[in-house]
Amino acid sequence: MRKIAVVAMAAFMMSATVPVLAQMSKEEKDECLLASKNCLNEVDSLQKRIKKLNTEIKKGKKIYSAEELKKLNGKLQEAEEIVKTLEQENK
Amino acid sequence: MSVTKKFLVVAAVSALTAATAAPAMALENEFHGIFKVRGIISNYDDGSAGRLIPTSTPGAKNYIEQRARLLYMAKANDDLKLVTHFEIDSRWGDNSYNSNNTTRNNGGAIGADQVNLETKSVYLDFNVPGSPAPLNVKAGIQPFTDAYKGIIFSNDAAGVVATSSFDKVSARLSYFRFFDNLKTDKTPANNTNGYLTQDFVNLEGKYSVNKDLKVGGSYFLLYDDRSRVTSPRVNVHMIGVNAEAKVGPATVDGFFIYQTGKAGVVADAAATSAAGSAQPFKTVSAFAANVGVKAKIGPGTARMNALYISGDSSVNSGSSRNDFITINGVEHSFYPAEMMIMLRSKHALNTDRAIVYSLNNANQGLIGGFLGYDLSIDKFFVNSNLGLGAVAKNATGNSNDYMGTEINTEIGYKLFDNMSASVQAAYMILGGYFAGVGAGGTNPENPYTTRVVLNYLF
Repeated sequence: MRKIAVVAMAAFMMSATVPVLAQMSKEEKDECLLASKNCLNEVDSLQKRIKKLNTEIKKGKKIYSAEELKKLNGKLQEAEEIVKTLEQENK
Repeated sequence: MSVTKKFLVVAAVSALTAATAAPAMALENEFHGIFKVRGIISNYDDGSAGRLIPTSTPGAKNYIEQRARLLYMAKANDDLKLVTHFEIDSRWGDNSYNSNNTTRNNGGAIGADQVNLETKSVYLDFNVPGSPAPLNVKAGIQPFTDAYKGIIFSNDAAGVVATSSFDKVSARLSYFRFFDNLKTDKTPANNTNGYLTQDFVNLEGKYSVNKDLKVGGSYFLLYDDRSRVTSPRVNVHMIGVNAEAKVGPATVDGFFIYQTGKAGVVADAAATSAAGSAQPFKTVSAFAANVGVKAKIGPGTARMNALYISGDSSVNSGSSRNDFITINGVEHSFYPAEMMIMLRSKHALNTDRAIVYSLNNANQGLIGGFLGYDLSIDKFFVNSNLGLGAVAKNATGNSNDYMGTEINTEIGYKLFDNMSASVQAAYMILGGYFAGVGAGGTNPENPYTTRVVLNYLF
């Protein structure tokens, strides 16, 4: 009975564990920025997103393909457009 | 291993697999926004918007106003989203409980509880699947800025914008319906959709010659039928060219845009009589030109812009007009000048006053030169600007065209990555153009404004 309880508790704890994302290394792609995969349950502020995109774009073709870099540049442009739209003080 | 143990192992592995499986992509809800609150002491800022006409004894005004903008995007995937954008504005102490029967720019008085939510944008943004070249379409009420630093049209409107790019070429085709007048209080009364309308069309093209040089060309059409029952159609065609180049450490850009077509009515009685019962239109021939330079100098960035907007000293006579036609007077700006008094300010909230509120400048146009320097050190930032302005064609009859010199600055500190506190100040030394325009022929008081601003962007 005790062994059953231990195994059941272990299974429960493993299923309740929040997946911890490894710190993005210089040699890895940021799949959250690139394809909205493996994102935590939060959205970055615009400033943070722009900073992250610039960091990933700087990694260049060593890490990303030309197509992926174009995608990241597109997302950077989109984020900067949102900032401009929010700040643009038209009537 | 017993059956019970095998069962438990399978259950544990299943639970682990289910918990760590990547979640299927569902709708992504994205929120962003901005909040600004600012206290103002000024002899011309008064909580309203429009042309600033200097006076001799304007008095000092003080008040606090705020603005929140909330942007929500429903993203089905990277290629499809709905974008909505809302705004809530108030001046502290203005009204509450809908007491003034208006539904925007209020709600800052005791009790609040005002209906004051404004909708700025509601549009669908999608990339067309299967398109031979990437093709993005935005359809709905959306923000738009032209490729001429905002001097043609820079605001929100209902329309459709299609953008495509391939290799070194990009193109944008836009159509907006600015007005479709149906209300019976309009003259003449009209109940037919699409009959009394103002429409706007823009075709843009850009070509990257190399990594340091981009050139562009544009065509605009402003087509206005709203007064068709009593007047001919307004038809203004605009053809423009623009370029941006990296020259050493500097970025140089600029544009030239020419307007032709028909706008306004000939006021000359003889011409009207000769044309029969219909009033003939004036022929438009106007232009605008700009050169801008930005370069890193020392620890900061230096900026320069020169702007020419053509004017007409006697627009009410003759059969032609040379003043630059602006769209409905106010749906444009020239924010790169970074002015706070002379031109409309990028910092404007409900308070949006400027000497040259519309670049048409009472048909007189503008000759302007603007210098600026932006500096960021750690969490501090300082932006300072100098502007000089004159009318292109003086329609007042006085001999002096020089409107004045503005100096302004903003000094701020980032309390957090996305929140700042700053102090802004601007002062304009009025030029000879305004000599004697005050009460009793006196000189008007030089305009000034001082502001303390909190700003949060997320």
